[in-house]
Amino acid sequence: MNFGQIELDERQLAFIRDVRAVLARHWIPDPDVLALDHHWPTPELIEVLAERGWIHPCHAEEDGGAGLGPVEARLLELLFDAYRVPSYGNQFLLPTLDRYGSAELKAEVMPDLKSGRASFCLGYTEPDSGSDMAAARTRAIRDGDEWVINGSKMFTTWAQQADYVFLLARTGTVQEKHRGLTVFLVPMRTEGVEVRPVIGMGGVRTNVTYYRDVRVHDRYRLGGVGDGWKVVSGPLASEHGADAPDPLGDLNGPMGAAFTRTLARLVERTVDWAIVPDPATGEPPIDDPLVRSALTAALLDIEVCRSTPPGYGKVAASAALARHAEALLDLTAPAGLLDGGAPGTVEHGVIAWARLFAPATDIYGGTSEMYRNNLARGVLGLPRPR
Amino acid sequence: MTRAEPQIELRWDDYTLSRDQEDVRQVLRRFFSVNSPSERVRAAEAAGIDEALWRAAVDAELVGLSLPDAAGGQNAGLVELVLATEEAGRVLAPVPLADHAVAARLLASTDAGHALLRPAAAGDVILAVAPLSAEQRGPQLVPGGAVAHAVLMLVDGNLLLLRRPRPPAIAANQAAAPLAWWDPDDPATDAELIARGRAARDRWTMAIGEWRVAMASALTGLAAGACDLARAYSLERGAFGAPIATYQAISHTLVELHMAVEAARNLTWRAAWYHAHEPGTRPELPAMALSNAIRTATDVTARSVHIHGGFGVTLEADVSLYHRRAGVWGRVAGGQRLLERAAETALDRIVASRRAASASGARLNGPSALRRPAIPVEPA
Repeated sequence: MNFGQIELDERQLAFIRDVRAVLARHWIPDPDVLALDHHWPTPELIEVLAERGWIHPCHAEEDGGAGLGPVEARLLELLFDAYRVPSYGNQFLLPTLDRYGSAELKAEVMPDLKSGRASFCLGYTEPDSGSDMAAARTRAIRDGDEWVINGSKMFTTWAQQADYVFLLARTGTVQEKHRGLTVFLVPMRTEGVEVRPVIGMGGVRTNVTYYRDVRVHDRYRLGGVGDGWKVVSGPLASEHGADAPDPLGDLNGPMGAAFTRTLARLVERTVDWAIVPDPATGEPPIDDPLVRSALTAALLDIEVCRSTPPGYGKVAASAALARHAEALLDLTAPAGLLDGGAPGTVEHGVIAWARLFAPATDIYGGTSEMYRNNLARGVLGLPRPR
Repeated sequence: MTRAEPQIELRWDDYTLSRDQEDVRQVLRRFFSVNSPSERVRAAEAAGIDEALWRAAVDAELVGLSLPDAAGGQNAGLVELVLATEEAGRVLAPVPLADHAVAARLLASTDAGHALLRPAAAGDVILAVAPLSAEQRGPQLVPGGAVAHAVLMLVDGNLLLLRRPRPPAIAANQAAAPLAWWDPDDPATDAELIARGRAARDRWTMAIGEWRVAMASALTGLAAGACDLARAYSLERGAFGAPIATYQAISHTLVELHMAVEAARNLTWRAAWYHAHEPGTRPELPAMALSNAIRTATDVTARSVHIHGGFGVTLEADVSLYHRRAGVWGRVAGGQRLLERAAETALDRIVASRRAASASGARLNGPSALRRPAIPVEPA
């Protein structure tokens, strides 16, 4: 057990200065950005980071990384967060690609995916299937050396920027469920791929993507025909925080940590509001015991979120975010209810925005109910639900 | 325009126990699960203590575990104490392990040669603290006070050791906890001055933090024990032709409870570590850990009772033993109202740093002209 500070050596301190200098030059942090996974770096920043191997910094230099040790990698992660650099990278995909991709495909796509110059989006969910991923109906039919893909995928977030879609397609019958699935890495530029924006509450952009007679060569197939369920299980597990806890990382998994940080920023912005005297009373709201109580309650839940195990971190953090976004917005009413830009707005409307964003967090990346189903069987050993 | 350089802090976030700590935990779990079945818990309700269990715990070197070796203890730290109180809490062991250990550690840290320390490590003298004495004058409701021979309290800034010929009677409560009133002004009570001034206050602050994490851990163990009962019941109880565990209303509840317990344990461990190693860095953590443990334990036991259906509310159901204790143990030092006040140091630090940033104009100030309409215009 250890929660102590890590002494940094001269080389590590120099690394911090280097990162700060690069970010000061190529990136303007936006304090209004509360959720880093809903923003995209500029092409300039992607190039700067890719050049330094900082998109997958732990990978070896010849693998597009920077060969950083765990301490430097964590420093980079903390600095990216502090400077509000959007979450970006292919770390969930690369091990799967390495394992299931053909030599030919890897030679073609891996260099840019490893450096981070190329990116991907997830093609799991469909208009008629979400949590029940294995019910996917987007169909791939073999035609000689090629596959012809027809169907649609929902919530393909970042499809408008991505170079590839990691696509779960049906190659068998619908009755075969998860045994009839195959995964493809489809280049987004392929003819017949269409991206249409879908805008969520709070202006959060995602997409629906359509696939009309999209032809891809067989080399874009990942894993065997019918092995799709096995192929998606690796990236799904990583996304859900199933990797072993890292003593330098966040206990509560990637999404749990991201939502917890969003809540922490929300608290800071509410404090910014609370320390300024209310024009009507002349008193700063922070002197009101009820305001202090609501803020302290949020801080307690942030500590609880940070203490939650990875498999449940996302569920706990999304619930805490929803609860406290509502409570903190309530404190700032009525001015806090206004959008950013409206006369008399509070903190550019970010507290009101968080309330709109929150409901998505217990759905995307797997609904809370799916997590509970999995944990009921996996952790508590309970029978399959009826 | 000056722009603030965002600050970062690099720390370990490592919850793994050492080999020795794992071994201690296994020994504790085995000892308490074997020696404290629910029949014994029930049998001890009138006396507030199971004397034979207390002796057995002494012989197993569990009572002196976290006391200094000079006093006859095993010299383990706060983390080991937290492991012990969790395992005792898991089976509701009717022994005042946490109160006694915290009081003995306070006495040892103030007066290492005090005559009561060796008998305390040997379990012949039972000690307790009056956790609210620094804030409220007059008679004190002392956890473990009905089985204690001596009680430490902070009165007018003086650390006093109170002794009585025999402990006061139990103040009846739903947990059958050995709570009792100790009155520093009672002429039948002998008061010995242990420390005064700054030393007294500093040591007291440490002891209260220790009491909070030890109690948070006892409640975590209690909640874990209740979860186990509810899980087992859900597998054996059938309804509509299947075990009730197959219904999501039950299984999802069990997952929520289990995860709340895991988080409560981790937060308690983190609080214990900070309190032992850097008590000034996160002074709110012990209060936060206890605050969370109280709400976790009360929520877990209430919902575990519910999973047992009508049977759960009967006195013969073991889960009712847990529910009765969950509502009392952690609140003996004042409820959430006082704990929240203690947790406000976390808010005070954020307020101070945001005020400083705002005053120096150094608040992170990027292209915040960003205007995010809630109902967006259709993107081009």
